[in-house]
Amino acid sequence: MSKLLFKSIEVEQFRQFRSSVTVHDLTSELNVIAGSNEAGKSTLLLAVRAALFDRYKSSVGESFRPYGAKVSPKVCLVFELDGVEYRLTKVFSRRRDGEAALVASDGHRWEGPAAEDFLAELLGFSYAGRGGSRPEFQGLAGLLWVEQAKAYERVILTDQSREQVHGVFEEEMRELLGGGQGEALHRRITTLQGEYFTSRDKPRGDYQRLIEREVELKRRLQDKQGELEEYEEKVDHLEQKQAVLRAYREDRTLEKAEERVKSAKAADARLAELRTQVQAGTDKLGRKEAELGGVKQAFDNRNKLISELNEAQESVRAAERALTGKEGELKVLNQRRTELKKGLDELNARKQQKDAELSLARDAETLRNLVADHDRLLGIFKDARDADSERRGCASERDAICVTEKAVSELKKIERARDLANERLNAAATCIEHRLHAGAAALLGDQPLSGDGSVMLTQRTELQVDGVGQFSIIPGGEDLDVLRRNVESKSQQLAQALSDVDADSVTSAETSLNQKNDFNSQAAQYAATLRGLAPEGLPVLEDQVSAIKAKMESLQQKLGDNANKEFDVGNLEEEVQSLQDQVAEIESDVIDEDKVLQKHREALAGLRAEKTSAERLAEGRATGLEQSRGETADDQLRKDVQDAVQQVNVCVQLLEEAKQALNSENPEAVEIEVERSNRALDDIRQEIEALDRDVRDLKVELSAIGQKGLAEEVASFETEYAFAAMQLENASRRARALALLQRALDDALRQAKESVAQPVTAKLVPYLRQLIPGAEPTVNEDLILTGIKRDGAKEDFDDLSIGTREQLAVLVRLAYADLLSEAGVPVSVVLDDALVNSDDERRDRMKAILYQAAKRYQVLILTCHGREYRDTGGTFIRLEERVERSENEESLVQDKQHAVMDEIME
Amino acid sequence: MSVTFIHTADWQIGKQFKNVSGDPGAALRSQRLDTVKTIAELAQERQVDAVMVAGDVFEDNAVSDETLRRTMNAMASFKGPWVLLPGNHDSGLTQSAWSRLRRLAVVPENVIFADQPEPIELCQGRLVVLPAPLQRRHEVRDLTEWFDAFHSDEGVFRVGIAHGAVTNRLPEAAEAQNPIADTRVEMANLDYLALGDWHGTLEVAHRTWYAGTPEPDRFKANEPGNVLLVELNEAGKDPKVERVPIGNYQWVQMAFEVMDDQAISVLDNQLAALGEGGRTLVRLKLTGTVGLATRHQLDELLDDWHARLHFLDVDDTALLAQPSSDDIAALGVTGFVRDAIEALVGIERDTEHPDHGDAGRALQILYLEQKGLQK
Repeated sequence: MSKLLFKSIEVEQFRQFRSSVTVHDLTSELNVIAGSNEAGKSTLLLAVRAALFDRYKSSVGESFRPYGAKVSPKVCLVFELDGVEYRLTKVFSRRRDGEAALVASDGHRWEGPAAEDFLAELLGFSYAGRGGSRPEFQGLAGLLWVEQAKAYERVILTDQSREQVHGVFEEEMRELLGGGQGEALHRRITTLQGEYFTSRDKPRGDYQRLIEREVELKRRLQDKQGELEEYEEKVDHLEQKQAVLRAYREDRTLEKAEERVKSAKAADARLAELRTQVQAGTDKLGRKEAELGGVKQAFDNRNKLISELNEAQESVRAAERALTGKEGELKVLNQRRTELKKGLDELNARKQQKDAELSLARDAETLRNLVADHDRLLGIFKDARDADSERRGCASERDAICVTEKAVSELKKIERARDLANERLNAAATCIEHRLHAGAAALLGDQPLSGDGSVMLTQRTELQVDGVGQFSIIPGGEDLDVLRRNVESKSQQLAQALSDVDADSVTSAETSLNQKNDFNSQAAQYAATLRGLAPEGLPVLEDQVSAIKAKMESLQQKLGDNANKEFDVGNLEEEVQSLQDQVAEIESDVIDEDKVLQKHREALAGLRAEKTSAERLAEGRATGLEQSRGETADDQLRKDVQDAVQQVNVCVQLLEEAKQALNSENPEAVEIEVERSNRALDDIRQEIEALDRDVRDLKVELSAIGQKGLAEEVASFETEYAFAAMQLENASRRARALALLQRALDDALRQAKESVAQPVTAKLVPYLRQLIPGAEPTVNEDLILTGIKRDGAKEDFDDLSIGTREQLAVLVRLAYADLLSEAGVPVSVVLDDALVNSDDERRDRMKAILYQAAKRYQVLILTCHGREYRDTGGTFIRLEERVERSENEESLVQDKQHAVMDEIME
Repeated sequence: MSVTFIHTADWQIGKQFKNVSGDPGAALRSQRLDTVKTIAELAQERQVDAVMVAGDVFEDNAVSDETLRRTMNAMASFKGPWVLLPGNHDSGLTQSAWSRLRRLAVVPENVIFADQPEPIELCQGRLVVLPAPLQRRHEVRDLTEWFDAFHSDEGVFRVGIAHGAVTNRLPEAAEAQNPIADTRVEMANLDYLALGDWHGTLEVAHRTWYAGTPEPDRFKANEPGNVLLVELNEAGKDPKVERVPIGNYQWVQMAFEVMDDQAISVLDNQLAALGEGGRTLVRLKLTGTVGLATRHQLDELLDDWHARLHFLDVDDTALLAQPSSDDIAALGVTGFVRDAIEALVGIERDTEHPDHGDAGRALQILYLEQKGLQK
């Protein structure tokens, strides 16, 4: 078994590695290279890929150079392959310092591109034409080295990796796939089948055209056959119609029908004669019955006349009886009414007398009331007149006072202003207090002084003291004059204002105002009294008094002496009412009597008219009867009726005999026979005519169609169709055979490919069972893991959880690696954080699986979850510990390490 | 004094051969008229007294006017009387080939339409022909009955002519319609009863003959392709009847079982033994089991014979393709192609398989294509 074993990796000036980093103690089994985020674990893997798969002079090399670095990126790998140790050194640069060197432990050494080409051959990969290498160029590394963040993707075989994986089963594959010939044959059959069918198995090309032609020819043939059938049908029709015509002629059908019509018509003529007889009998009977009716009518009329005369005479008698009765009743009624009328007249006279008395009594009472009213109103009138007079006086007094509230208020204002001016003057004035000795006298200005006192001086004043002389007292202050003038001005204003209101002081003005107000309220009081006494005014009240007085005087004149007489009005009223009631009662009786009388009179008139009318009717009828009897006697009429009845009976018998004769001929049957035979004749005649016409038409038509040679056309079309159908059948046979062959080859190829997948499946099964007990892998013919089967259900790879997908992606790579490894192909598996989405349990199982796999080939795990991989059992390398750093970097790293430690402690 | 006449029937002019397409079919069609010409020439050559055509002169009443005219023209070289009887294909309906021929006015005087059941006197009264024309396609009664009641003078030859199936003498299927009593000759005291409808030449009863179609028209081995030369020497005595082969084409139906590689040459010999290929139509039914290589040889042989025969129809549906180990070895196929072959062979053997009918051809295609690729 051959092995690919990476022993050491040295990286310098490569991306983030400005200093060199060396991982040198890698084992041939499981290795875990742990580093925190940004420690450079992916960069380390990139460097390994670059060293192996990128040309040192590739343009991509510059992208490895750290920013601003002068020294070119350098990677040095030591690996062992088939027992030979190789040291690969690459300096990525297009300048002179670029280098590629491969030194083998067996003494071989390659430089530059030769080294790279040998390496590609050794490891089975190729270089990318442009840009950096990609997995599809990296041979097995492209398959077995898993990049970070792509771990859960479906594992696809690149061309190179497929070639190598297939190389493992080359012999079996060749056998199963039938070699190049099998493939060529398959392609050839696919091409042939494609000439017949589209990708959706629909016919195409010539085959399709054959199908269409067959359909078209079939349709054309059917159309033509239809035409021929129609033609033959018409020939048959012609034949049938002619046969019918022949039969008619042979049977003399038309002639027979005509004879039947003739015979029916003869029977019908006989029937018509009998009908005439019946009709004549019916007519005669009608006439005789009419005659009988006439004489019966005359006889009945005579009886009716007699009976009507009797009735009229009876009516006259009845009217006379009624008239007599009614006249007696009227007489009694007239008497009763006369008596009632007499009583009524008496009562009316008495009532008139009492009415006059009552009228006087009521007038006297009215007069008394008027007197009282007059006296009362006169009093009121007087009081009202006094109140009015008072009101006028008060108003006059009030109007004489010209002081108003406003004027008083103004006065007070001016007085206060004057007083204020005075106060100010006095304040500024010189006060002369004097206490003169008794008898001593002095003259201050014009004012003599004596005794004790004081004088306020507001202006230059001369003081003469007798015996002493004269003093001029001049009060101080410049504005004293102004103040004094102000006082004077205000005093003048006040005087003027007082003069305007005709007052000598403000107090007197106020007093006048109060008086005015008193007058005013008194006037209002009197006005109110007046309104209470005479609401409508004094003149109206006066008119009322005058009117009452006029009425009073008029009544006094009317009553004369009776004016002062005492009447018992109530008693009189009762008497008058009693009389009134009696009169009304009797009047009502009289009216009732009058109505009864009127009715009787009207009835009497009616009875008289009735009697007259009855008498006239009786007289008329008697005359009519007499006249009638004059024309024909009653006995003659009776005899006429008997004769007529006898004649009618004779006619009835004759008619009955005629009817019997008619019925015995069965007229209904005769009529129906006439109708039937006529219709039959018409029908037959029409049919024969129609047949003749049809035969003629058909002959013309068929003769026109016949010459076309429809049968030959049909036969020709049949031939053409048969040929097309045969061609189609041949093509269909070949098409079906090709389709079958294609299916058979496809199926066989698919089964062969499934067999090819078997080794991969066999390797995968133990891993999968260890990871997910009970699950089976599904590997297709391209050796791709397409999903798993669990509990009998298929689950597509893409439908699985991300965690499961990344685990399966690792497992299938291990299966490939196992197969390749067993086949002697040098493999190594590199996983760059390929299980970040796995739960603890699955990750533990994966660690066990990886440990087992690493027994067969080298496995490198790069992870930033070092803690979780510490227990893999493989060699554990902390990347940070392999980096040579500057001091700054060192402290940075220490910080990171502390962080890592903290994380671990947590 | 004897009377001779040619008895023929079932010309069926206008017949198409729908299963024989293209030029071979056209040749068959035109040959029927050529055969009529040959009959006319024969009649002229033998100096017969009459030619009697016992029905189905035309394939159908609805043949074209041109066909009607061509037929009359083909008969032109014999100037003696022709008696043409309507058969079931050209029954004497009011509107028929016969009525149209009359209207076209192309019927020579020597051509007699026997479209009424009335006696026709020929040879100056020495021969009376009693026709039983079909006036519709199918009759359930025997139209020859009237022959019995017809009396003719002593010594006059009585010849009946009819179209239909003689009772009790033919396969059941042929008897369904237009019956003719097998004792008509005796009952009507006929010297000869000339019949049509049966396409092979056949003496079906005493003095009762089917002439058969003069030009074979189907793969049925019942001796068609003749006319009958009938010689009546004495009334009441048996006639002398001579079969005269006149048909141009022979229709051969063959069944051949392919057993081994030698079968190819055997078949080749059998086909060669049929005679003039250009006048031979062959229907070949192949049976047996054949390897792919042999099948390939067989196909090449048949392709060759397709070109040599007037017409070759091969039915190979019963011929099973069975690739031999040699076939497969010769193909040099392995892997899935071999699996596919095995699967196809399985289908070929399984008569119940829906693709059973296509498997042999599929194998054959595979064989040919693989061979092609090898070249």
